Amino acid sequence: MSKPKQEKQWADKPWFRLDNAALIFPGQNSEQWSNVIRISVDLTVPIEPQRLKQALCDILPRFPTMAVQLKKGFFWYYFEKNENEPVVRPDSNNQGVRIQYHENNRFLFRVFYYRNRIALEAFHALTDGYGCAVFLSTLAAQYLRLCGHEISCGGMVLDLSEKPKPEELEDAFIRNATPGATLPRGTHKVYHKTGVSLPTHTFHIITGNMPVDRVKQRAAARGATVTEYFTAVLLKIYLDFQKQEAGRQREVVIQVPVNGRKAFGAKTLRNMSVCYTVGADPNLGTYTFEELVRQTSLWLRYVNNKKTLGAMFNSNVQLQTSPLLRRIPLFIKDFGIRLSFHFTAEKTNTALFTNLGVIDLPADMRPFVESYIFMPSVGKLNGGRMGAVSFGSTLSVTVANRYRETDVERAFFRFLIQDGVPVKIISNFT
Amino acid sequence: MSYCVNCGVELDDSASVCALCQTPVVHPNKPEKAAEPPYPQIVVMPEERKRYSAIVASLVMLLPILVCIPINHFITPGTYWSVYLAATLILLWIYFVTPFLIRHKLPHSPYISLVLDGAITAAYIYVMYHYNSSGSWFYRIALPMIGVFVLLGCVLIRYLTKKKKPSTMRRIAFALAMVALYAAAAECIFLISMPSLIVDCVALSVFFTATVLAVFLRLASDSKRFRAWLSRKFFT
Repeated sequence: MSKPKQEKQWADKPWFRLDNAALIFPGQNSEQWSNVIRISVDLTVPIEPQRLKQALCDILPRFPTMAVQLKKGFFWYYFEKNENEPVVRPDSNNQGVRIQYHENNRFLFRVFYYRNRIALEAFHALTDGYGCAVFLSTLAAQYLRLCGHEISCGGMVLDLSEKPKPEELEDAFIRNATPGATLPRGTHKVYHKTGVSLPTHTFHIITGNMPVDRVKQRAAARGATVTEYFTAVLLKIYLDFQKQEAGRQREVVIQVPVNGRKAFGAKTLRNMSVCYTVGADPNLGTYTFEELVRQTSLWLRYVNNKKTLGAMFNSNVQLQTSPLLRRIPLFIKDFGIRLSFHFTAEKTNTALFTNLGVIDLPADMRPFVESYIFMPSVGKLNGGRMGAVSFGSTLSVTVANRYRETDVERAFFRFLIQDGVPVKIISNFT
Repeated sequence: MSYCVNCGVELDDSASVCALCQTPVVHPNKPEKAAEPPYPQIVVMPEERKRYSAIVASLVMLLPILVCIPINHFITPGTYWSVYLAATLILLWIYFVTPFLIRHKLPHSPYISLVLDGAITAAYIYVMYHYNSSGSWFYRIALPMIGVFVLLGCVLIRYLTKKKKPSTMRRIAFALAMVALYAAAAECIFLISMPSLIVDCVALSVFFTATVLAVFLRLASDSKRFRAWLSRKFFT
């Protein structure tokens, strides 16, 4: 199998390929499906736009994979260095809207400020949640330095005096794919809770903040991790919704992205996550919550290993390296991707739950940071797409929803309240 | 701090209603100065660039017109074939390109779009009528049929965009009923306007087929007994 020679793309080359996971995103980019991830940090100091812009200019050379613009080749999209000045702008109520390649000085990310908050929205083709968290933390650290505070490097704050490392810039999918191993993809249609769509480019964003130790305690009481616990809650509420609706009972499937860096020791700042799915079929009988937690827990622990990840990577890499597909012109590939994602993609999963994990900051920066919020991209069909992140003693779960109805959020947070987890809600619709 | 009496969640100090269930917040000790909301209230829409593609498409469609009209005029004078080509391209341009050029200037309403499309189709057919035929079929047949089409289309849109969405089967039944009505109207228009014209009752056969299907689907969607009878009789 011929693999793209990624090492040669780096150093100071003016262009480079998209990583394996990123290849599909430009083809799907539409008003309905933005694939924009948002992460924000609330500091203890107010944000001054000029200083923030300076901080952004300071850190961009350290992140060459972010300082790019998207270009069309004949066969593939590619990234080209973007020499334009980055832009910072006031935050708006409608978050996570589509990034168009010509706007924002052609950068594929946006930086916003509001009161003491810095927010980053990035097109998924650039990086995943982890990459966004590192970029935003480094930006916040540099902003605090410009405010006159001594902030050291470490954790998710990169050293700006260092040069970008090759391992941060690699396409880790290609290196870690297991040749010859493949896994079948889910293709059957599953249950969806739909509703009345909000006007284009407006979404319901509801964040629930809760004490992380209480959530861990409730999860541990059932022998599960936080991710397994939340996934089981989602399965439970969707099964209950479906039960109330008269109609064909379909399987409920939750998509759980997993960070592949841990398993392979990768340090890339580009995409390195793939999605597992956990399902429960109501046609098999009624599930108790304890059964769902156990099923989720066992399944995720069974599949989450290097062998499965390697096979999943390879299933995707095979498409990129196929001699036939490589020679198909880009506009046909784009059409194919759109068509394929129209008939599969979100139709094969009910909701998404992604846990970014714990934000790791240097000790001298922590007193200046109040909280983090992580929002996955808004779905085209899925009402509830949830992102979780924890910092300090707070875990925040954000639901990005394109529908007018907030039934999923209500059921989810009410379940947590009933289970003994106090929740504080903030929303863009108040 | 406020709590939602319905959900039990703690709410932001700036919240006037619970974001989860819309229950109004009642807080007797709420400070007079309202807290700042967690997100700004300004909505910023991304810049759309479909207009550029629309302008390119317009230029591409303009080219054959610019080429064909002089050819028609100088090489085959006395004929009007380039008029048909130009009219067809203009019709297509209005159907598919103008929405991207002037959409933001028009109120977003399917009724307005349908009425405009009806008017444009009438104008297109009028061009054909003006250059190529005699008689009054345009006024007696084409115009009434387009009018009925637009009217029934508006009724269908009204039904499909009702707040309480009807079931898929009901929607199909209603669409079929509209088809049946249109076929009946077409038959009537032909009979009244041109009684001498022999038409092989095509519209009537469409009318009966669509009516039977619409009634069947409506019955199947409304009557549990009918559905039970169907499943009893036709189980496999």
